[in-house]
Formats: sequence, C-alpha cells, structure tokens
Amino acid sequence: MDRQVILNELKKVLVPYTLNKEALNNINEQTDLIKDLKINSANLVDIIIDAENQYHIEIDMDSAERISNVGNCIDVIIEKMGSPN
Amino acid sequence: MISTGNDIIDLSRIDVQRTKQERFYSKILSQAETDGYLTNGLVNLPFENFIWLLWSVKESVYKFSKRRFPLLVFSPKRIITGLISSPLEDHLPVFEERECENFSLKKKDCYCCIINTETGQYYSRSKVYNEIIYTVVSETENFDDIWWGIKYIYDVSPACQSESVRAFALEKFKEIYPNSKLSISKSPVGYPVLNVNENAMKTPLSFTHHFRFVAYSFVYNSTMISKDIF
Repeated sequence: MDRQVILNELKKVLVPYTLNKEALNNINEQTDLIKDLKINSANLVDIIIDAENQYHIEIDMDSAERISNVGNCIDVIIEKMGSPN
Repeated sequence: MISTGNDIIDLSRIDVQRTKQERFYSKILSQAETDGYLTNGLVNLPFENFIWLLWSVKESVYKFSKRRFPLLVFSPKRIITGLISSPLEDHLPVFEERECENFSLKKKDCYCCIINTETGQYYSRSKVYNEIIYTVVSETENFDDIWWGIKYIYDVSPACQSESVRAFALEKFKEIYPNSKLSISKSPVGYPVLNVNENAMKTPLSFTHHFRFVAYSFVYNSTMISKDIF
C-alpha cells in the first residue's frame, strides 16, 4: 500500500486524539505525535488499537516503541501488513 | 543526579469500556501486573482506575528516568510494577478544590508501589480521586522533599495547558525565591528547567497535563539553595 494512502487514512485515525487541529491539516511523515499534534501520551494505546483495527494487523509493544512520528507509524503498519515498502 | 517525575490522568477522558478490554490493558501491563489487582487486594478500586493507576506510575517512572537517560524510549511493559499498597481510606475522594498543593506525600494517603526497570528501582505514591489519578515517583521511600500541585483548568487548549502549569509552578517558586526573577525553560531533552535570575537551577521539575488538569512536582529542601545552580 502506498505511504501517502496510509498517511491519509492515519490522519483520520488521529483526529479524535489530536488537540492541534492545524498541525493535523499540515501532517507529514515528520510530524511528531506528541510534540506537534499535542496528542496526550495516554492516548497512544488507543491509536495503536485503532490502527490495528483499520489495517487488520497486530502491533506488539516492541514495534509500538518505535512510533514517535507519523513516518515511524507508517513503517510499522507496512511492516505488519507484510507489504513491500 | 536527583530527579522527579509525575503524571496525571483526567478520568473523564478515559474510555472505560476499552480500558477494561484485555486487548487494551495487555499492551500496558504484564499478566503478573494484571493479577496484582487481586493479589494486592485492590478490588475497591474500579478495574479501569487500576489500569490507569499503573499507567500513571509507569509514565512517571519514564519521566524520572528520562532526565538521566535522555535517549530512553517510553515502553510501559519494560517498567515493572510490584507490590502495591492502598491508602488507609480507600473510598475515592472528590477533588473539591480548584487547586491543591502540598509537600510530601504520606503513605497512608496514597497507593504506593515499588517499580523495577533496567534503569533502577523506584517508588511511587499516587493520589486517586473521583476525577483524577495523580502519581509522583522517587528513587527512595522518602517523599518528604517532594513538592507537588494539581490544578483544574477551564481552557483545555495545548497552549493554555502549558501556560497554566508553568504559571502554577512559578507561583510556588516565588515563595521559595522571593524577589527573584523566575522563569521556566525547556532542556534539550524536553524536561522543564527553573531559572532564577537567569541561572538554570538543578531543582528537578516535572510537568504533566491531561485535559482539565495540570500538575507539577519538584524536589526541594532549604539546603539545596546554596548548591542549586548548574
């Protein structure tokens, strides 16, 4: 799956947890979930579970540790989907 | 290097049904930690609050450790919580005041936990109200030099949360450093730094916010003033 397609879908996943809506409109792979989108760390597990539901994958916590920005998140999703990057 | 770490959970923002699903809490807690709900006799605490209590403990330990290990990544399952004791009165009090500040955290008033990680052993004290869970972590069982404050805010925008917690902490520091120019900056790692007359202080300081609540913790006793500058 194309990274841009995942990014656009991920944007929808992040909507309910994002306090900085302006940053969400300008989201790119370097966007940091906590520093830029102002997502509270307490919502990180919600985001992982929502991404699991969206892509029918399972994200173990070792993989979740790698997620700090949108690009990392896309990397993990692609890896778990078994798709070539 | 002394440190501090705190964390607050606004319970109005948690998804109770999702929290109670194994799929959710198994990403945060090990089986042994989950079993601790029963083995530690914590059944007076709603299960969802138990999950968020341990999240709060783990997040506080991470903040404490990050000051010493700047490259540390938050990994809740690598932070292992052990024996948990309950406050003497284990009904959930209401957070009645708009703000609450104190120093020290008495064991009898808190859920207390011993935590082990790759970076060391830690101790936590958590106050659980009907509305919030608030945790502070120390590396000793002595919490006498820990100052903390919790404040209810009306504007929950990220800018206001950040501004409110800084102003709240600075009000407290004004009592300790009267007639001084005080400010708070951010270290390259991301933790807050108190500046007194434009000198960065060693006083370890931690901020937390979640929706309607902000809080601070710092470690301070009067003997620290003379050796407080970096």
